[in-house]
Amino acid sequence: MPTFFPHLGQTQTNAPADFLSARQAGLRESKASALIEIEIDATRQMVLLFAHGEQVGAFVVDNAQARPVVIHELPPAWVAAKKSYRLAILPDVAARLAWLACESQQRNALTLSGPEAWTRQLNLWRDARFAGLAQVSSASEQAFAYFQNGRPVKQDTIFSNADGFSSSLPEQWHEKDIQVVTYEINPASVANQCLQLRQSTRRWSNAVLKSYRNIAGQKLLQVMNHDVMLHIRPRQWNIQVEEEGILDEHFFPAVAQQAQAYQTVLLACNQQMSFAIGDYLTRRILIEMFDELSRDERSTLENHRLIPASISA
Amino acid sequence: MKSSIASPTRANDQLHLRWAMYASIMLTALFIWVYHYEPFTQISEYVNDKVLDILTLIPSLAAAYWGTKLARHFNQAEPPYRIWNTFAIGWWFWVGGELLGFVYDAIYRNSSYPELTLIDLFWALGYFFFGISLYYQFKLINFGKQRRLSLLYFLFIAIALALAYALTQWAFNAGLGADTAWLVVYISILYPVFDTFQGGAALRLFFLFGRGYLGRPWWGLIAFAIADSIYIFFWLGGDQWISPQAYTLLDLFSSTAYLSGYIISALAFLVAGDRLDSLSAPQAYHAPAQAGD
Repeated sequence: MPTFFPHLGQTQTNAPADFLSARQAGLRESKASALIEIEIDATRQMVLLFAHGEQVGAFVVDNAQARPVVIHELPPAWVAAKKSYRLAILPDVAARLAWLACESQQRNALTLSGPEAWTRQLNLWRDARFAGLAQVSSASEQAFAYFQNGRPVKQDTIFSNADGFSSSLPEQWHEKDIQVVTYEINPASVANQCLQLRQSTRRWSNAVLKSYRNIAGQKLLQVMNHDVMLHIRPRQWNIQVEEEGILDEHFFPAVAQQAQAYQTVLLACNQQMSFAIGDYLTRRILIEMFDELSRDERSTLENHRLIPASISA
Repeated sequence: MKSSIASPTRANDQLHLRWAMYASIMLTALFIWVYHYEPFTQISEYVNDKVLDILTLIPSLAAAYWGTKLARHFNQAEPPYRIWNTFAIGWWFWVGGELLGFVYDAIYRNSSYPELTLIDLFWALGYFFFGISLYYQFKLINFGKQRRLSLLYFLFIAIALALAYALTQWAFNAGLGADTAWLVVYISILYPVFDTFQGGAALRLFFLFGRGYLGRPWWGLIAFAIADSIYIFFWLGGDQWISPQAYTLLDLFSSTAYLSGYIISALAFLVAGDRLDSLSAPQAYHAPAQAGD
């Protein structure tokens, strides 16, 4: 029984021995983010996750609980055996949320029966200011969402059905028998470090751009965003600078790479802001908005040298 | 390695601005020539004066027009709209003052002006709107310290009024303006005092904005402050302490600084406006497609 995005990809049974390596090579070539599920037995499967063609993790999923394994340590006979494989090409957000789920511990699992129960659940999360990762699945739909203050976070939410993917949770879940799993995120996991850095950068950039918009106006903010996007375009990151801040929909397999990308984007923003309102005011905005972040957010950013001094230097 | 973003100014804009810059340099050179050598006095002094007035009117119109154009780029609910719209209104009042100068010169060609004229009203309203726009600008960049700023603003106005009062009293005691009404002398003194104060505020903005193009329109006020500081110096009797050659040079410098005030602000409005215009036809940007899209 597939766990992640079950309605996607085609399952190949009795695959040839070189099936896996051929698919891995294909993903590397196309730089696609994807997952490959390999059936081990009736209750267990292996999940391989890829970020832009590079494998970022291998997990054995046993009764919806994932644990990491090192794939090259698997017995060659096992790898070579004719297994049932499923390859699903995913948007970056979907792949990295699957990665986060695999690196987290299952906390709660419940079954909801129908649309009303789903709406009730959303309200419950909202009232309880739920924070964490939730996986919602039904027969042909699945969603992953990272919640903060009881609301799904825009850049870490994905909903998938036969029509494709969308980045918001549906208010109405039309299918019955909805399985909801919430996860306890492992703070030390790389997936979580990437998530925290993403969130902190989003919050900081949001506050900075809001201040800049106040001084320079909406139109100059749009000019800036446009120029920054042109600047980072050759990098082919799924990162956008929008009015609410940096929207990162790229699957970075390592937090250092992610921090480097943010540094580039923030430096470009800083430069554009300096053109309009000068170095001093730009630096002041960066510092004041950084100081308004929570201690955890500041420390996350500081750990990766995403600080006003390094951006406005 | 840090990469650097190219300057946002597009090639077309640069060409556009280069022409505006050349025109400004030519206008300034022409002004200096007419002011210093008075070539049109061969026709009459009046003609020479009018040529100078026309050369001053051109950049004042440009400043008011481009200031208004800049303000129109913003939504009325946005804070920068208030700043630039108020600033542009101030410039239009000064354009009105310059134009009324032509009217009064024509009417009173062979006599002196009345003590108080409509020109004074237009200058005063110009100062009023400049003051308000400066207040809005400081308020915007002093996030969260607005109460203190309002107090400072009113304090500055009070000090400027008091200083103008003190200078008026001193002028009368020194025997200056004996045949003129007290209010007229007070208003005459108030202009350069306001100019100096607004120039000081603009100087502060110069340091805050640095070379940022949204701070440059204020630089014009610094030029006016310089021009009027020299005027105050002369008025206080400074012209008696320096040689005639130094006086001529300072006088020319002061008049050119006054003209430059308009030119600097006009060019700065043009640069900022062009930057905003560039959004009208941006290069198409398409986000990289995601896998699975």
